[in-house]
Amino acid sequence: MSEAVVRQGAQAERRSLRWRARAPLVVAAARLRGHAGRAVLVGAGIAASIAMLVGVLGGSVIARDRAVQRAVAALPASQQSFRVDAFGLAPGQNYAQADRTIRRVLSSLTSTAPLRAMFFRELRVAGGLVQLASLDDLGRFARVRSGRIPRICVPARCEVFELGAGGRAAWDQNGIHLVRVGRGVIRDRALFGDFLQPARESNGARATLLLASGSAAFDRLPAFEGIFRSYSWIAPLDPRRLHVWQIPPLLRRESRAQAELARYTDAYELSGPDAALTDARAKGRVSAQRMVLIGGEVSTLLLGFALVCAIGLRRGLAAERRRLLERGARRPQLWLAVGAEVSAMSVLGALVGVAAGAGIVAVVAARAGLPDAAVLGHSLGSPLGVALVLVAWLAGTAAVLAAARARETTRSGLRLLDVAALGAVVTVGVGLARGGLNADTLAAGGDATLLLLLPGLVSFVAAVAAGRLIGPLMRAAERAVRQGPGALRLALLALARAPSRTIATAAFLIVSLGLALFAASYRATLERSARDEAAFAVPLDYAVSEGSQLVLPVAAAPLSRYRRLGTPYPVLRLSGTVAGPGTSVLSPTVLGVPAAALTHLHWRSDFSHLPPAELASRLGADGPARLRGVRVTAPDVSLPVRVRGTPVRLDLAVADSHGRIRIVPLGERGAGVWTLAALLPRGTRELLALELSLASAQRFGYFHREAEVGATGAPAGTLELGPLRAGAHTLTHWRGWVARGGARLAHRRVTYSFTQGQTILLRLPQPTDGHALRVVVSPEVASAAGPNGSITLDLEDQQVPARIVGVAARFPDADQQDEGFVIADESRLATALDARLPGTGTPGEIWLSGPPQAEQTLRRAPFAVLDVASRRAIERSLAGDPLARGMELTLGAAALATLVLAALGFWLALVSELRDERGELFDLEAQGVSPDTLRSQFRLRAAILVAFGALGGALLGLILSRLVVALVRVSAATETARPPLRFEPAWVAAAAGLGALAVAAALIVELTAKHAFRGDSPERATWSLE
Amino acid sequence: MIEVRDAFRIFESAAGGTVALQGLNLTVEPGEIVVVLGPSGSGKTTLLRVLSGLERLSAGGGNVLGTQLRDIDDAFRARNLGLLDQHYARSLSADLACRQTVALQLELLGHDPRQAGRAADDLLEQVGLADRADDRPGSLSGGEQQRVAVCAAVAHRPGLLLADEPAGELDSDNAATVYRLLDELVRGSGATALIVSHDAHAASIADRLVYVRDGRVVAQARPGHDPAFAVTHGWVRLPDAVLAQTGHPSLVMVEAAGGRLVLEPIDGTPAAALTQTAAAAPGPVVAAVEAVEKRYGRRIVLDGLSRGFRAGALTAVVGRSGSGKTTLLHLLAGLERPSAGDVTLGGDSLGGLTRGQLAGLRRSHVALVTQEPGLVPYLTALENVELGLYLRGADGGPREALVQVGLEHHLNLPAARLSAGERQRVAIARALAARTQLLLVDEPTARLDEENARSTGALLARAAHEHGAAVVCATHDGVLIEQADETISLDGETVYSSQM
Repeated sequence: MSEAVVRQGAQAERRSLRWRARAPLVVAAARLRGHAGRAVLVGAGIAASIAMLVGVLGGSVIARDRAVQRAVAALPASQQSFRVDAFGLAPGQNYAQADRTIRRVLSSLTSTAPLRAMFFRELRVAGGLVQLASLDDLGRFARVRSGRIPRICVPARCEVFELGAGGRAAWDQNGIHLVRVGRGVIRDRALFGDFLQPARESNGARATLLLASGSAAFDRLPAFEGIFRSYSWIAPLDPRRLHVWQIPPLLRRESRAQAELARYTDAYELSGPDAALTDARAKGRVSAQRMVLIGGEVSTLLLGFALVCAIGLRRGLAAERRRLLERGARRPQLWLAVGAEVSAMSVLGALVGVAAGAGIVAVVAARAGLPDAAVLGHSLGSPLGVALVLVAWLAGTAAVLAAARARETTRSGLRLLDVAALGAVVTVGVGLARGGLNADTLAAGGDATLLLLLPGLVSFVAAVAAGRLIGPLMRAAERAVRQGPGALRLALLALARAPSRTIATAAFLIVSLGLALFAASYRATLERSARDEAAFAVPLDYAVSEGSQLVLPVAAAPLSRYRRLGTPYPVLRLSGTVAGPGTSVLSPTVLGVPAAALTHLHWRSDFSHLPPAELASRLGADGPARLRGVRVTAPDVSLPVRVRGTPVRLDLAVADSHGRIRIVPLGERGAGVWTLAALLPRGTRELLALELSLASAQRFGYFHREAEVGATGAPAGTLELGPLRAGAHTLTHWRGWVARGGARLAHRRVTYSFTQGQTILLRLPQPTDGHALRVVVSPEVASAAGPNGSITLDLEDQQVPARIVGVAARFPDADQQDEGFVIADESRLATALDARLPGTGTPGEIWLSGPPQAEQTLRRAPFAVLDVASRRAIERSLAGDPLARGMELTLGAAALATLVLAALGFWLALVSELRDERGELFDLEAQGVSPDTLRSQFRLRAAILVAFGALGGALLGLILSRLVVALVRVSAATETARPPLRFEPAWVAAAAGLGALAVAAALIVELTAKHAFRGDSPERATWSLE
Repeated sequence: MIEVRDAFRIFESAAGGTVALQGLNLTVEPGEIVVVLGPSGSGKTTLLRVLSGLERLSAGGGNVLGTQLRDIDDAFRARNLGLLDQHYARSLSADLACRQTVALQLELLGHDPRQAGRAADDLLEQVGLADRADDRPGSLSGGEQQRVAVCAAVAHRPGLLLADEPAGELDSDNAATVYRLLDELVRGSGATALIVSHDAHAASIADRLVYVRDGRVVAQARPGHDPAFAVTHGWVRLPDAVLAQTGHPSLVMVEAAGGRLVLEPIDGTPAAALTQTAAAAPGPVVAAVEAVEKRYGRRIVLDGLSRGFRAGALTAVVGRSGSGKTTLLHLLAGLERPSAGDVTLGGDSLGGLTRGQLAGLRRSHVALVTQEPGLVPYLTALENVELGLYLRGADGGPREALVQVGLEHHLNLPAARLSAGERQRVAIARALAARTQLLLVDEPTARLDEENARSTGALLARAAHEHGAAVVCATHDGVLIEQADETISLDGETVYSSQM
């Protein structure tokens, strides 16, 4: 019985506990119903912040996914697949067995059935060179120009399809009967890589490409037994069906597949777009890390908005708390009542925010052609996403609860905040001191914590600093206007008399406007960075250089042809070395650029403290240089010589009207008297130099001895020169000519000694002789210079003395990490090089300043053989990068949403202020202050708050932007930024945003003032109840 | 049931401590209904908060229902005490229905919500509000709301009911109803009640009246009997009327003669020689109300009041809480508009003026000292008065005004560091400095001790007599009332401590 009583008692106690918990919840529910408007406002603010956070998470996944798809789509077709290439079959496996094995392995990587193919090397059949291949589903790939698709391949008749034209109709030999039934081309040829590139004979003739239907077609022909063939199984990847979250498991499956194939034979090679996938994933991780920054901004805003809400709720909650206390509520019940009310608003707001954010993400994903459910699952549904949203909601709720229960700020409380702010400054400083985050560190995990906390920490410091300033500032301002207009004085009085409320509102405005400016400025900085990056890679509009066919731009077309497209500047790019610090050697990039071009390059002021015009002036102060030569009057030249000593080889260096230098051999002669003759190439205009080098046999012997036994006596001799004639005309008697490179010329006698097997040059004195080359260098090179800035450029065995006339931190398209660069005037550098060894000063690039239409022309002959880089194309590519676009969209949305929240919070704060000030306003009106004056002071007060918020927000936005730019050294497309990011304040966007906010604020103020001061009598203050 | 011994409660402020209770001693027997009377600022509300455990004594002790005052916690209050506030709007949640409000304390104690609801319904039926059980307080009249508050306070059958001006905001009929209900509910449940009130209806249900002044019990009485003065450790507070008759002596001789205690003043100014400012002949009517009616919803606060206020006269407006004193002042200041009738100032009707015009009128002609002066906390006393003059565009003597109210040593102290009483005096100085023809003062001595209350009364009288202002003062304080030239009672039933 007693046990039953005890049990009943326990049940009763539990019921009583439930009911004790229920009572405060009933109160909370009633308050929510009674103040639905305020609850909606608070919830809306929280919803907006959570929606933004969810949007950031989802947007990050979408951007990363698009980046992966883009990276794979950008691969050559042959690499956009998983493929197994078999150079022979595994021991004990026939084709069918190998086929089954490989198809099974590939099915674990992609659901697309692989395309099978068999390839033979070039064969000679019936006297003709053929290259045979057989493909599954040939009809899908072949585009028939004549005839039809092959149907059968049997020993008696193997129907084939010819790619291209010019082959025979049939090839018959020893059991091989190939019959051509159609001709055409193959679609997606690149899918097969080099396998379908026809081989060439030594006489240049190409093999005929013949295709049969069915991968095992030739297996049916006994004649081909024993002939080596390779096999391919190609499973193309559809980039649109590949998603970023599939990459890690895909790579793991690929490893397993490779291991399984290796069990059979090493001859099975599995390949896939691993590098592209891994790279895309790493880039995506960088982007995700940076998105954490936006997440931190959102969380800060959420906390700020929550605090503003708390100020508005404080009074009501305090009154309810007092009532409950008087009714005998226990402390836990009090907490339950307040906590339930606040939590309900924040939970509802969070749920709406999650739903809204998810909706936005789903719409964006659908428009991007991505599976919305999967995107949501891997963003919002990921452990990180759930944790972030939960933490954001908890932090916001806790902040509102804490602020709603806090007493008015006391002096001691502010001191605690000061200490906390100092701690925040130290934390940010330590984080920055650890160094910036580049693409590699971010890809490896970066410092997500610092990125997440950075906006919050900096905003917190700004808010505390503002809090310290506002009170004294308002009081001082009020003192200053004591004789001024009444409305202004009243406005400043109102701000000064309630410092905690003023600080909270101003701090919220500062933080939200600051974060909006940061988002807009960082976006502008990233956009600018893309333009800078493109301009750094292509300093003018186009950069034309040698392509795979090794044709120089000046050889493909004369400069006059380039002038039809724009303004061309020939550029020399060389590898060289200079002395570095101590005994080290630097390998800077050496560029010869026309001095005049510097003023047209896309330049940033942080590249050098000297403006480009000044650099151009210093670089070109010696004037342009041109190689001096002797005009040639006829193409047939002759030169009588007498050789004594080591046999020599003689060449003439000549130039045509376009400045192209050619070496014309005169011949090799030993001791004796000779008359050398040569026919100069058509178009030769000038004779530049006579080159003297060791004859071939002597050169070979000399270097052989050098290598075998070390230094031996240098081959030497003398050469007496007769007049050089061109036709009947004497070109030169060699008077005034000089010898370079280890020889002496006197009275037409050259005394030579080949101490290093070098080339000796006889030429006219050149304008660069005896003059150090004027150069602009990087700081690394400048720091190791000799007296008066002298350096020696070692350019492929040519020593060129130079003098530093300027230093630049960066130079476009000359970014040699830690090795620096050296920039010289192109004509003087080219002349200096040609004067040492003709032909070595030929520019290898042309930088062209031209309109967009020029791009099309540069893709056609004669420029088609060249490599053309377009600044505009690079800009377009960077701007279109999904990660860049995703980041910029997110920042833009964050800036807009932040402004909306600023307006919302401002409204809430104004409404709370008016409610809290009813007593003071009544007292003022009782003293005779007119309603018009009270309305004016209200407007002025709001204007002062907005102005303070704008100024403080501008400062906060600038500081935060600079910090982030300094810390996160990654471009919008998540590459390490070259040149480094440079902060670009978004003044226009900021002005527009501030203007919009000012208009919204003015509307809010007017509506609120109209509502507050309506009626023909003032509202009684709450204390005046009698 | 209740025992309080030598209770002291000091509230610390920047200006120093404010003593609310100064050695108060009180005993209440079980089942007794005790009404506590005293002017504003005498410590009545503080006494109730101490007994309910919402404040702690600075010194002294006591017990309630056998529990030491220092041990009263939330649980004790929930089970044993019922609290009833004069401001029903503050004590009733606007968001809970009447049934929910009444049942709340039972539910907080862990009772079955259904049972609590039934108990609430029974109580509401008892007070005639059964059909309003699902309504929110906003739709009820003031009297109905206070009835709901009474039910809420007794629903859990507390052993002790503490009520602070329970009918303070009600008209006479409603006040009578509320007190009758209290009597029924308290006696019906065998509880004890301590009621703070000025109301005659409260006295009618009391078993005992206790008079409190300056934080001490100074006298007690049975209803209908003369009060007996409390002797506490030999201290007795002599009533003002008696002192006035003997010339306010500062020294008396005491002897016991024939079982009687005889006090003989040694000094003191003969009544005739008392330098009260002689009232000048009343001047012309400065402000007047004619057949004025003021209604707040269904509640009628002023009903056909007609009265003129003359220059050179100090008029005391008396009445219990909620009788319309402040409303009258606001009507005279043009801060509220009458529901019917007319208000004139300087012979001109205020009815046709706009809100802005009324503000202009006040700027030049009216000074109002409200119960909560809106001083700027960080400005000094002098700067606050200067601000008041600046807002009026007036030249005045801010320094002199502050000296007049006895704050010559506090000129440069920020208002935040002044005591509540000192802030009240700054507000009065601000009004005096303006030298307006109409000076309206609402409970000016609410936070002042007797000495300061007397000097404030003298100051207001001087403002009327010497400067010719029409001074209208809403007050409960007998000290002020005795200095008034005229007294208006708005309800005719006020019990105020002018005898004390």
